[in-house]
Amino acid sequence: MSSRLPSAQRAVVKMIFDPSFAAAVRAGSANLSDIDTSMRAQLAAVDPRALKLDRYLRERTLRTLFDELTSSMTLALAETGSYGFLLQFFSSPFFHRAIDESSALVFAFTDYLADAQAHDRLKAPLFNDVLRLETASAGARRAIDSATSITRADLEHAATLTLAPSVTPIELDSAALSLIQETEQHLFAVGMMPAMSLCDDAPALAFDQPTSGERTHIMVVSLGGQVSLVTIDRELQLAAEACVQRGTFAEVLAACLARGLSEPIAREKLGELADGDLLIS
Amino acid sequence: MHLVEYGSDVDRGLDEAISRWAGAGGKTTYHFLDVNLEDPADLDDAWIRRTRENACAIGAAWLCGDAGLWHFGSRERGHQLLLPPILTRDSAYAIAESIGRLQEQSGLAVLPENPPGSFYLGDLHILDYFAQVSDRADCGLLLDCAHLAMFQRLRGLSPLDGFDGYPFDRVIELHIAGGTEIQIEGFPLVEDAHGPEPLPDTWTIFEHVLARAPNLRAVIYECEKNRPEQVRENFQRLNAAFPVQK
Repeated sequence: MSSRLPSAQRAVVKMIFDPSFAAAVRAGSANLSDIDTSMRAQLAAVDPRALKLDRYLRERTLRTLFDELTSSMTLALAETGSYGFLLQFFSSPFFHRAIDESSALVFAFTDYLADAQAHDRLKAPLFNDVLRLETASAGARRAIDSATSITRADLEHAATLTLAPSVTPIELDSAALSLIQETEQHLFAVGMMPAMSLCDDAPALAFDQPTSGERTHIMVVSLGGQVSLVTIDRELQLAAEACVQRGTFAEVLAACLARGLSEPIAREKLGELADGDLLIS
Repeated sequence: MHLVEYGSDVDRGLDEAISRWAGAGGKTTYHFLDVNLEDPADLDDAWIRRTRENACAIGAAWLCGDAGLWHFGSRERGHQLLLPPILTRDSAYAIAESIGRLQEQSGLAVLPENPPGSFYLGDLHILDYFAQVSDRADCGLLLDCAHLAMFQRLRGLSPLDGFDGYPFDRVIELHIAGGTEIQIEGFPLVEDAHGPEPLPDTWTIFEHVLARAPNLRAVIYECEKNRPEQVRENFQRLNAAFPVQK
C-alpha cells in the first residue's frame, strides 16, 4: 500500500526542516501544485517562529543518521570543515524526495553524500569505499528475508535462486577498513572531552589517506538487525555478485563463469553460499 | 496511582519497570509513539503484530496514542517528531480507517488522542475533527486537556469553545499535564513539557469534560519527568476528582 499522507503534511515537514523551503512557501514560489489554494494559503500563513519549537530536531535527525553513517559523516565533516554541509542536506532534493516518497532517510543521506563526491565537494580518495560499506550495512539492516534458504543439495533443483536481501558482497580498497578504524578511534578520543574539538590543536583526522591498491572482499550480513562484516575470498565475492540477479541455477552458474570463475570453483563457491544460508529461493 | 500508561515504539519495546509493574498485577495501557494514523499505509502487519505483542505482554486495557505524525520518511528510530493532523474531513476519515484496521487486527480498543502543536492547519476545530474520527471508526476517544488548551490558545479561542456536538460519551481517557509558556523570538507558545503544574486552561477543560463524560475510565497525569514531591498534590487532587472505580 502506498503512502496516503496528506501533501500538506509533507509540506509541513519540509518547512520545519528547511527554512528556505518555508520562505518559498510564504512567498508563493514553492512547488505545491498538489495542494489546494486554501491549504496553500494556510501553509503560507504559518508564522516561521512556530516552526522552531523543536529546536534540536535537525540535530537529533542527524544524530540518528550518524549512528549508521558514522565514518562517512565524520570524514565529510573533516574534509569540508563545515557543519553547514550536513545541514544543507535538509534543503537538498534528496531530503525532499524522501519526505515525498516516505522512504528511508538514511539512503537519502547516502545519496546526498555520493552526489557531493560526484561534484567534487568531497575528494578524499577512500571516501567512496567507506560510504559504500556503510550504505550496504544500512541496507542489510533493513532487509527482510522472508523466503526459505536453499541447501547445497537443492541448489540445482531450485526453480530460481538469488542472494538473500540481508547479504551484500562488496569489494573495497584495503585501506578503507583501516580508515574506518582510525575514524572510530578519533571519535573515541574526542568523545572523552568533546569541547577539545573547539581548540586549534585538537586531534586531527587524516581523512585524505591514499588508496593502497590492495583489494579486500567483504560480505555484509544482517541477522536479526545486527550487521556483521565478514572478510571473504575473491572467488566467493564473484559468486555472490553473480547471485544478486535472480535466476535459475544454470543462469547463475553462467554469470559466475562470465565473471571469470571456472565451473568447478563456481559450483564450490555457490555451495559455500548455500551452506551459509545466504541463498534463497 | 492506579494505572500506568506505557509509551513506547516497536523498536524499544518494553522496559524492566513496566514489566515489573504489570507482573505485579498493575493495570496498564499502551501508548504508541511510532505510527502515523493519518496514513493508513503506515500500519503494516509487522507493526500491528509487534504493537499487539507489547500491549498484551503488559496486559494493556487498550491502545492509545496521538493521532498525528510521529515520523517522516519511513519509520525509523529516533525521529520523535509529533505534528498534529491536518484538520480536514479527508484526514479524519483516513485516521478512522487506520483505527478500524488496528482495532480489528489487534483485537484491542484504540483511542486516538488529540496531539499538541505550535500551529494547526485545516478548517475544522480539533474537537469536531475527533468527533468525526470517533463516529466513523466507532471508537472511543482520549482527550488530552493540555493539548486542547494549546489548540484553543493558538486559534484565539477560550478553553471551552468547540464542545458543541462533541461526543462526551466516547471519552474513555483523559490526559492532563503541565505545559510551559515560552517565547520563540517573541512568538508566544506553550511547550508540552510535562512539567508538574498544568496551566489553568488545562484544569478548566479537565473539570468541564470530567463532569460530562459518563464512560470515562482513566485519567493519566503525564508527569514522568518530575520528582514525587512536585506532583503529589496534583495526584491527590485528581484522585479526589476521579475516585478509583471498584
